[in-house]
Amino acid sequence: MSAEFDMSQYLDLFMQESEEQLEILETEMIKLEEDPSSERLQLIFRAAHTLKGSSRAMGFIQFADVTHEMENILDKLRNNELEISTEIADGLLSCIDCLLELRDLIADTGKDDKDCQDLVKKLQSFTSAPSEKKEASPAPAPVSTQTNTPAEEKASTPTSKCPELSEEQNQVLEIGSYESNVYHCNITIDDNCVMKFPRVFMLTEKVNEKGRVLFSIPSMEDLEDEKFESSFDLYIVSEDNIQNVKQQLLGITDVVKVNIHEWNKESGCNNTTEEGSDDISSHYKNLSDNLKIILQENATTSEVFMANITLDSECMMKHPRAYMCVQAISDNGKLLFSNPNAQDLEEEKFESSFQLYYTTFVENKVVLESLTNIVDVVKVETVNINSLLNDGKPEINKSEPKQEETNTAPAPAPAPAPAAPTTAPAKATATPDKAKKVESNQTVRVDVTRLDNLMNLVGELVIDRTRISQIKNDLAQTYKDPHIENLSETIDHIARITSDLQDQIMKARMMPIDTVLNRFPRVIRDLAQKLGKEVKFQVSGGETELDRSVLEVIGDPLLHILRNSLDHGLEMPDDREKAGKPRTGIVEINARHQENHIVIEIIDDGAGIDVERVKTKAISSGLITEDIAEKMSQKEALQLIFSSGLSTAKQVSEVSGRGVGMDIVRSNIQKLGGLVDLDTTLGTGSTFTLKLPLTLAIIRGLLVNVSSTTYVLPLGSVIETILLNKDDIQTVSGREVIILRGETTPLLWLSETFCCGTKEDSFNSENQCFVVIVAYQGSHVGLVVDNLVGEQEVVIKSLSDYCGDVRGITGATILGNGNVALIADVNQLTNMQVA
Amino acid sequence: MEQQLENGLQSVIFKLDKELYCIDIFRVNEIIKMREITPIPKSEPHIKGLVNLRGKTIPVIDLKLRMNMGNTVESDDTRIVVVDSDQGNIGMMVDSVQEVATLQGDQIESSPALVSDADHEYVWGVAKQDERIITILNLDKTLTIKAD
Repeated sequence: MSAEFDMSQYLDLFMQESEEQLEILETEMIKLEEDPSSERLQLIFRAAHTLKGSSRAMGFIQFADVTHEMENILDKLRNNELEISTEIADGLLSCIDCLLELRDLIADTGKDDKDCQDLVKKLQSFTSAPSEKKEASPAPAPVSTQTNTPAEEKASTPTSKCPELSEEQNQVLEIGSYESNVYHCNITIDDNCVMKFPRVFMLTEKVNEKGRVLFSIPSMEDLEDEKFESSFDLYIVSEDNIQNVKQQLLGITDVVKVNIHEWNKESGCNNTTEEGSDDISSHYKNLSDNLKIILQENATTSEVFMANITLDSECMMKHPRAYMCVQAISDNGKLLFSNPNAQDLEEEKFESSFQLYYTTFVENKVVLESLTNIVDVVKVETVNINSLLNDGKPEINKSEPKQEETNTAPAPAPAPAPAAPTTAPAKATATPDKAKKVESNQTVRVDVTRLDNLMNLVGELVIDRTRISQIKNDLAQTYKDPHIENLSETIDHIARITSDLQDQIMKARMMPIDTVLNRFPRVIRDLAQKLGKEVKFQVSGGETELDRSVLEVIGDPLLHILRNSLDHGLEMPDDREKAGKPRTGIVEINARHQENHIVIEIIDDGAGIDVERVKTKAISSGLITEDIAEKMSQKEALQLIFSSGLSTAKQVSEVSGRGVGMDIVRSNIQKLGGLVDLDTTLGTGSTFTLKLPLTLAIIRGLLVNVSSTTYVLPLGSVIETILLNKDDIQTVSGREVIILRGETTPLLWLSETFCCGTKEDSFNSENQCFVVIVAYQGSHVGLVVDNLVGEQEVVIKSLSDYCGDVRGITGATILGNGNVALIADVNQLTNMQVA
Repeated sequence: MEQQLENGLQSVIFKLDKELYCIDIFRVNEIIKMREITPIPKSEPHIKGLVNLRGKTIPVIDLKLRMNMGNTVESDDTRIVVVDSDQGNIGMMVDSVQEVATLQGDQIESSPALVSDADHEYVWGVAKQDERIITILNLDKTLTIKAD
């Protein structure tokens, strides 16, 4: 490989990654000022850190420098060595700006040739200033390691014993121990495992077969977030014996190691071993009270033995031998526990002898025999400790290999019954969730055109399905065959699948509106500072999803409206106070689904719009005459602010006031087939309501016939349909209108507009015609059609460029019969008529 | 086009009225039978409308109308030749499709003397083959809408 490493192939990756991370930075940073929680800081820190790493790797020094300084500040912030202040927030925000610039530069030139040292110095000044404070308080561990629970420390030092447990946890274990065996399992997962949590899940599922998980360390939430290195601890109750549990857990993919031992109340699992003690009973005496209770409990129902097993000191494989001993006992009875515990046995943390406590259902000499037959076992002593439990002298059966002197002395002694649990088994409580991480979705990047193609294919499928079902109907009429019944069932099934498929692909194209809204807090903040206003920006319904084609175009209109609200809507803090309002104004964006549309409201609690002033302004700028202004309703007058060249702002500011913004807003929204509405109350604020289609790819349409051609009217703009008598048509200065619920509604004859037909064609034999009432700029217009066909979801296909710009038509679609139908652009149509 | 002529021009030959025309075969996507055409209101007269080509909508032009030869009268032989263009697929209505043939370089005259000025712009050349005269169309010019 050449020394000059080709980075270009990684550039795309870097750009993608930096985009994601910068987005996180930007959105979280804005929220940071209000809510400087450690989780948020952690999130930002992580993003900055990722950026630093990847930019270093790519050799973008400036980029790395800036992120490095950011990281420094963030580190101090999260360690409470620095307080978040407006300056620091500004500094961090300017970092993001700088990074965005650098990123664009990198995208254009592949280099980050921009001097950012000024910024770096500025940032350094933040971190160097309060240095005494740093010395005064020793830096606490970084947050990332704070989330490390003792279990993780354990993972790093496998020799340590059980993690320290809280009282509560101990209680849970104790209660569990009344139920059945409580085990502590330290489970190690393969480092390379990519799906750690699914493995954890499989483990818990396995446990649930014969018992349940009491709790885990780290907490289940942390495990779910994969916030653990490779090992973790599970506390479980299980009816199974220790070996079976272990075997089952080991059977799960990627589990490389399971240390399991029984948990006992007093000792926990922290058994200390007394090695080298020759006195058999001393082993017992050294047992914790807790273990003794277990023994006593067992002694009430059966005889309990202890086997003191000594292995050859030369033995190389102590654990396998110990395991064989355990196995030998398990074959003939039940192992209660071992001393040292199973984990220590496994790690060979014993000299040469260890003790096993067990009950057996065969004669003890059988057990003794099987133990002595194990390789490397030099000495086995078994004791019936029922007598011990009864404070009697233990009877010892010593056994040197090949020479047995077994005898058992049954001395049943009623042991005190365990106290009945006074509390109901507590729900497994986990360690408090320290860092609620922002959920990271697993996503795949897909080219939008691929999704479009998929959509097309599904569209074809839908059409073919309709055809097949038509053919089936024809067949059913001609032939009487049971197969046709089968066919129709299959067709129904295909129909369901295709519509599901369509739904799914539609969903795949959907993105939460947050992706657009996320950049607004920053804009609002900057704007408010510039204007000297105090603003609280609230977003609700940010998770509302809509098609990305819509998302791409609504950003600008929304921004225009927000700017307007801020600049013209909200008053200065002092003025607000005078008006008896809180100094801080509120600008709110609400998004929600409504039928097949998404409705976005932009609400401000500002001054509202003075309708009279709008009128005056419109007259002075020549938009309307005084006569018209007088006749205008409030609603109509409000629509004036959407016309080009009108601004009610007294001064043209940097922000707005040139009278073009709202014009663009309306035209953009209309282009999408959406509607803009405005509601205002003088003194209390205004509400802009945008109603947008969920997608641009599929709309619900009303199919109508005009001169024997089918057209589709987007249902979003259709208000109602009526059957109109010819006599009800009136004329107002040559224009045909009808009075619909008191409102004068102009008529538009589609046969004339589209097909060079005549009005007469639209009337049926009874001199009636169908009129589709559509919304048009706050009022209604009636479109006269020949016939109503039905309502249907249609896939929009754009007209070929070759056809040029056809007025009144937005696109085409393919109907169930395979024919092409044109989709009418209601706004343009009505525009054509009015103009 | 000139370079291809060295090896001859592989072309699709079709009929408009009684005259033979051809276009480069590499520009032809497919040839389909007539199907329902949805007219587009207020578009150029030679644009007949849209057809459904396996889920895509493509515009169809009346080639004869385009070349000032009058309306195409639909018959069983009428075909739509779907060609590639800068603006995507476009269908051209022709009276009938004859054959696919290779026109040899020596059969082609690139400067037709017979055709009138009005049609000149659509015509790239003329080929004589087996006593037939075949007009080679300049497809891009033919498709480009006149700005009048």
